Amino acid sequence: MAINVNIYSNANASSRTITFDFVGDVLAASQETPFSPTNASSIEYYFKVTTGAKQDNDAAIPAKVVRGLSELVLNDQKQRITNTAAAYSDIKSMVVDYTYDYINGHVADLYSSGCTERRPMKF
Amino acid sequence: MATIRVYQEENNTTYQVTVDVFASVVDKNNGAASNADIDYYLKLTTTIPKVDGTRYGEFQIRTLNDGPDGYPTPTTFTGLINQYVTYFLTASELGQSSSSSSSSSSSSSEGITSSSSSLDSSSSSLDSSSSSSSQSSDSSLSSSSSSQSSNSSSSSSNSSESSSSSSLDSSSSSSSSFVI
Repeated sequence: MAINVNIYSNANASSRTITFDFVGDVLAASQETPFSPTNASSIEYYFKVTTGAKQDNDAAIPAKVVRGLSELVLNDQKQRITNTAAAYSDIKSMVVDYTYDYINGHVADLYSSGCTERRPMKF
Repeated sequence: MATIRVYQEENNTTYQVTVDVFASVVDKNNGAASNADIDYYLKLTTTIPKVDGTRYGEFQIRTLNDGPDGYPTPTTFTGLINQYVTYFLTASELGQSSSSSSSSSSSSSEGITSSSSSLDSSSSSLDSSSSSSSQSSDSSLSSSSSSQSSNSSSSSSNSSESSSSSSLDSSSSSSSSFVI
């Protein structure tokens, strides 16, 4: 079960979906030294943000893992809507901010966050 | 959806802790129309029984501060979920010896198996027992969850009745196991 956030473009008469799921998996990216007995195979619980929509240059939008409310959408450095470095106050704030950024995209290094460019969502 | 399976070797029983994300319209200010809003939150349920045999209520999680009472605020969702699992195991005294465990479960009508003679077979039957136990636990949870609201305040301040829809698709799930 997951949350599907549906976005409808009035101008294009089409819709896209962003999926927020909460899962528990072993995250390969978190294993600094794979197969180390001290950190291998530890399960983490996190939000997984996915979408089949593409950017307006037809590039795919990769899946995003959100382990905690301090993992902000712009390179973990800044919130998209408010230009603040504070952690999200709750899960709703996180979902809304990620959705806003996925739709609108952002320029490189927005708010001096060090993020790379992402184009707006293609409808 | 994340499902954590907790296997109690002593009773050869598998319990589940399930965490899923929900969206619903929540009245945040006692009926003030301007405060009715869509909210996103995690709902945590478990089939682990309390010491008296009753079920825990649902736990709704909106921030990382919504952990069990008495636990520090974690920095990640992993820390938060692990706190809840620890809380259930501790509060339900699942890790105690067979004598105390049997006495506590004997007062319940939940059908918990007290298996003092099944220790030798429990280790080899983990896979088969886990699936059958979880099935029975699931069915008992659905029937008992609606009657848990009166008991929810005793377990945690975060407990509350469910107000969310459950019509979303079950597209993905994951599970993990703890053996105690």
